[in-house]
Amino acid sequence: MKEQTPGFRVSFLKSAVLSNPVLVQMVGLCPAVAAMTNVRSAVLISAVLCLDLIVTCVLASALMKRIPRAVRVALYLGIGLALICPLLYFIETYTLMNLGLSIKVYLPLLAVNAVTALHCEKVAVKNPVRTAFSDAAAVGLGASIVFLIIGTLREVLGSGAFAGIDLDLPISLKGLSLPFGCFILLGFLAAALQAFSPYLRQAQTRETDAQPAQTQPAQTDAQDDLWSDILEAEAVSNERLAALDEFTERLIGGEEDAQ
Amino acid sequence: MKMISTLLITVLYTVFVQNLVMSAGLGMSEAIRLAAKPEKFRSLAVMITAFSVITGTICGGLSRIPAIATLPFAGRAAVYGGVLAAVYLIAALLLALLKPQDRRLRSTLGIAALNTLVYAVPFLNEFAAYSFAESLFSGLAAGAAFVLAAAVIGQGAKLLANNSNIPPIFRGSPALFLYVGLISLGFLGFSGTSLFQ
Amino acid sequence: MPDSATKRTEGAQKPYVTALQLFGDYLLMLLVPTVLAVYYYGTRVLAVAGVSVGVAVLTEAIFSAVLGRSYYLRDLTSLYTGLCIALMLPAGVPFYVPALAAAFAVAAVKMPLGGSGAPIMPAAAGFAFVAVCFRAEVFTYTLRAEQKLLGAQSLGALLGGGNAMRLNAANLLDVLGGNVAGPMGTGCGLLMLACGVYLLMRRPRALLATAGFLGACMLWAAILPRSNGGVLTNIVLELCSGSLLFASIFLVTDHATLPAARLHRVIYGVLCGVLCMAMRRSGVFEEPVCFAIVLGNALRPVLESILPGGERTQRKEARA
Repeated sequence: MKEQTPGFRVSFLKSAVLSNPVLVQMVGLCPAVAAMTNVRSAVLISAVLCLDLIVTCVLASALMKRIPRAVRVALYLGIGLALICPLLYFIETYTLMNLGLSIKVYLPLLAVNAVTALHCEKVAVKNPVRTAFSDAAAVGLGASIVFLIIGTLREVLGSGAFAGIDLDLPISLKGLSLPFGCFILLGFLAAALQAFSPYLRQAQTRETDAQPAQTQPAQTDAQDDLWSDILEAEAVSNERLAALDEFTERLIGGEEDAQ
Repeated sequence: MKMISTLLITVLYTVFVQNLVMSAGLGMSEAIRLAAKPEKFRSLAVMITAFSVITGTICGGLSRIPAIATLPFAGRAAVYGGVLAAVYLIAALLLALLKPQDRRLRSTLGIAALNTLVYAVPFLNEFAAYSFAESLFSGLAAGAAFVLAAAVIGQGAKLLANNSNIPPIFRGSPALFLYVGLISLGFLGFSGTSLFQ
Repeated sequence: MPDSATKRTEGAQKPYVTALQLFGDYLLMLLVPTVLAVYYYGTRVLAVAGVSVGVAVLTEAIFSAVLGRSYYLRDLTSLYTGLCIALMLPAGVPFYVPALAAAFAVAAVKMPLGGSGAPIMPAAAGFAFVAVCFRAEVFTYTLRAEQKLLGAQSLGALLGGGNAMRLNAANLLDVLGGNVAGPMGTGCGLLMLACGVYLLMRRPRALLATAGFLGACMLWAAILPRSNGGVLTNIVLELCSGSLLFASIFLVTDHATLPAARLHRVIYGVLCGVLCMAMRRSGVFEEPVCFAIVLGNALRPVLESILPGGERTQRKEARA
């Protein structure tokens, strides 16, 4: 377990922060903008998303490598439904929690969220289970952090409360609990991330530079499978970063080739 | 005449008053990511419309069966999801038989079927208690809402990409988030609230 | 720094217009309704305008400092944005409303989306933001209501309720002169006409959008009236209510969001007009024109890409 920590840290820095699924890749927005107006719904949706993401990615990596892609994507939906619908039924029937219409509708919609599909297809089915798990956990964590920040900000600024407790603020900006307010907050969060990402990238290169020095002798040992896993995960993350760069490049420079 | 006006109101409501993408965030990730792949625009728009019409009407028919109508909400959600998966698999099979070489179309098919917009249409039809004809038109309108939103976001992304005055930390996704937020704000003029609130 | 958007839209009619000249013109035009607002509502108008302009300038200065850019007021745009927002608000509005509107306009729209060339008009977005957040405060007109034609009831509220007032020479003058409850600087139709004439001399082609906008609004008001009055009554009341005329002169003709081709300008104006009138019917806001402008701004690039004579056709021609 000791060796896994730096691996997960690298994976976390890349998957959860530098290419944050929500702020940078712009996926998983649907539940965030519409249903996440307070802390409670943010926690609930984050938990369900993480569960769905981890289970689906692990299953995809363990069992679905031989299945054709077209069938695989339908199976992701099946797994999501099998997880979320019983959970929803349980919450509604046994905990007597009043979910509210928006959460009730958006929880099943998490079964078709783009984060799961993207990471299953791009990472999980091409990698061993452990890599798939650490990637899914990092991505889920990255999305959850953003969701919690957004949920908190929207509840505090939008309805002047925190986790249902009234804060007695003089002004509340009702607009922030509407979808557009979420986009505005996401925009500023993404800008903040973009402002800090050069430093984070430096930290990441330092960490990855330091690692091979430690791990070079280990690779000759019997433990090489673990390091190859991690290195492979990094390669995949790099690939993902490159794809992302291409994505932003096309967003930014799409017009130039046309003119 | 009354029928036509009801259907027209259904369409206008879904496209403008509560534009499904802008006011409820349904299919938002797909609409934004489409900005980077404008060549897929037409095929994706057609497929999303087709899937939302087919899934919406089948689910509308199923929800009239008493055994399904009395299920708890989670059960109905599972049924709708099952229908969506089945429709998608049939479409994928047809595509594999008819156009076995077209890999790009096949990957688009997955994005077009398995997204929050298409999956949400049966729920919308259920909450609005739409008739058969109305759910048909609400499916069409969901496609139109997606087209409108994706076109606006796509052209906006191009415009932002060419604007060299945007500060570096706002380049890319931050500016696009703000832009999308402002469009969503514009759509609020039609209703003043968002869907499901 | 010359503004690329200014060059693009203005290049065809004049060899070169600086942002300073452009916004100088607009500021000059805005000063006239401000003076009339002071006449109608007293010095509180100046306080509201001061807060709005001050916060806009301050936000821009802070934003520039955070980004490490040098700040200069030379292009006057934040002054213009602040004053524009203030004039669309009621004179008795609490001060935090113009402050938040101006802060939103500059911090969330203008600065991050490319300064004075932002594809969405900051003033319209700022007003729309506070209209959503503080609907009651933004659409309540109680200051000096006792001197007004209809008391605290505005023309927009009158039309929203489905009633019409009977127009005779005396109250027509009140309506056109702006002596009804409403936003502090936008009520006077005659003054807006004068601003239009000034704009005709300075930027005649920008008025194509204004013409399309007003034409669409008038046609809509004639075909789908909201009140039981005659056609002419309906048209006059719809045009004079809220900020519609103000928007047609100041918001629709904004240099950064106006299409380049003549035909596109007319169609863009018609689009904004139709959106505005549709929102007046379906929405909850008494004056949704700012929402319509924001949406029209967002639809403008789509319009240019699908209409003939736009970007796409030009590209095709260039290739051929």
